[in-house]
Order: sequence, then structure tokens, then C-alpha cells
Amino acid sequence: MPLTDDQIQHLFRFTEKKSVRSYDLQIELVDHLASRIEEEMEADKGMSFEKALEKVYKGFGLFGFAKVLQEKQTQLQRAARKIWWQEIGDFFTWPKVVLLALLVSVFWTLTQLFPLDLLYIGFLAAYIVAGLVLLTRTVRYKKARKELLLLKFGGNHLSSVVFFYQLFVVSMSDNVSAVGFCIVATVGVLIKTASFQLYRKVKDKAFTLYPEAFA
Amino acid sequence: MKSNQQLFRGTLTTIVLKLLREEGKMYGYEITKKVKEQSGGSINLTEGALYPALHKLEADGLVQVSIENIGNRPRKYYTLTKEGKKEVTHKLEELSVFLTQMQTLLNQKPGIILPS
Repeated sequence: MPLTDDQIQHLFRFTEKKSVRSYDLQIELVDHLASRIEEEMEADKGMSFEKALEKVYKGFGLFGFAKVLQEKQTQLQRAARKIWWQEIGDFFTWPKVVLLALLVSVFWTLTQLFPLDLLYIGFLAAYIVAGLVLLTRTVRYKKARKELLLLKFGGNHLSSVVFFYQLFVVSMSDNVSAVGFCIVATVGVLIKTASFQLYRKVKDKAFTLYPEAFA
Repeated sequence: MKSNQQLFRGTLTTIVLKLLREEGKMYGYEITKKVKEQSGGSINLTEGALYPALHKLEADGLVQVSIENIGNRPRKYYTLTKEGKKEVTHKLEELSVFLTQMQTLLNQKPGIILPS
């Protein structure tokens, strides 16, 4: 006998009480609990919904949903790193390698036309502006009404911040060179592009799988 | 004889991938039931083991997910990706080699003979 809508909503509230607030993981756990409860209550007609839930929840072990939640977060971060590195790697394969070569040529040409310290400061400013522009573009994506682990852990990569700090330090030093600038600038563009691509892919996946979370 | 659950922990990925290859599309609880059914009740795949394994397979790009509404609730289904289908074959070959090696090793020791 299938559970009622009220009982299903009770299961969603149950997962939330057990510290699973993200909708994407809740769906999976609620379906699992519901399927098992339905089976238990079918096998023992006298068993109440609450008793069946208590029995089924024990199957998740001493720590309940904590292990599943922790592992999900870890795997989402792994997947994000994998996508991010794939995006970087794409620039070293056809056809994006042509873009990479063009980028390096443009930066090299700039080093022949302008003083290096000016170029570093200019690139730093452009990097900040690009970051703000990308931020406004990503903010324009519809905000999720429900929390999703996919967005919380699957769409971020901290390298951008680290690189920005290193670039800032380099731009303040005296030992800059034309080759150095080309490398730093090219790497900066790759990192920004990879970060944006990662966020876009993850957001698209979230829209496709969980449209009700954005309604 | 009930099987030692620890021995099966290392083969969980292979078991799940093989089931998905056979069945096409499955959801979490369905996988635990199938494993129990096909092992004659001797392997009890716990929720604490299954879902981390599925999430890892998804992060590795070997399975993909889809959500379907089954009436009173949404359900997450898992299917193999193209890479996942290749990986099943590879994993089964690995396991077969391992079992052959174990058989050889254990049958070489006096007094330790695997039941045929």
C-alpha cells in the first residue's frame, strides 16, 4: 500500500530533523525510507507508520544519515575538481589549443608594446572586472528556492582566489619578465574560464534534475 | 553459510555496475533488493554502504542520474554512462583474474582447499 502524501511530507521533515536539509539528497533518502516502510507495513499489516520508520531508520546505522551526507559532499567536490581540470585540459587539445596559442600571442604582443608593470596592473584590474562581470552573470541564474548540495559543493573551486592572491603579489614585485607575464596572464584566463564553465555546467544540471527547486 | 560482509566491500562497485548493466535503470532501494535476491539472502547491502558507492560512481562519471515522479514522491534513477559500460567489462575481468589468483594461491597451501 503506497504511503499517503502526508506521510511522504513527514519523511521530508524527518530527514530535515536529522540534518539533511538539501533537497537533492532528501529525495533519495525519502524514497528509500518510503519504499522500505511500504514493504514493512505490507509484510506486517499491524505495524504503524511510525514504528516502521523507526525500524527502517535503524538500517542506516549508528550515525544515521551523517555518513551518507558527508560522502555526498566529498563526492560532489571530487566531481567539481574533475570537471574543472577537464576544462583546463581542453585548452591543450584541438580545437581550443588554437585559442590558447592566440591568447599567448596577444599577451606577448602586449609585452612588446607596453611597460610590464603597467601590464600587470592592467591585467589585475581586468581580472577583478571579469570576476565581477561573471559574478553578475551567475547571479542572474534563477536562485534555487530549496537548498541543493549540488550547488553548495559541486560548483565551486577555490583556485581562482589563490591565483588572484599570487597575481597580486607578483604584480607588486620588481622581478617581472615578459615571459612571466604571458604565463601568469594565460593561466589567469584559463582559471577564470574553467571556473565559469564549471559553475554553468553544475547550474544547468541542477535546473534539469531539480526544476521544482527553482519554481 | 552466510558470507563475510567485509569480503564483499571491495567488490561493491563491481556488483552495482554489473546490476545496472543488466537492468538498465535502477533506484537505490531496488539495487539493495536485487543484491539480496541474487545472493540468496546472504549479502545484505546496507544503506550506509550503497549510497556512498552510488555517489562515488556518479562523481567518477560512470553513472548518471534522472529523476522521475512516481506518484507520491520523486525517485532518483541511476543508469550507466558510456564510460560506465566500458568500466563494467574492465571490473569484471579484474575480479575474474583476482579470483583465479586466489584460487591458485589457496589451493597451493596444504590443508587449505577451496570447496569446489
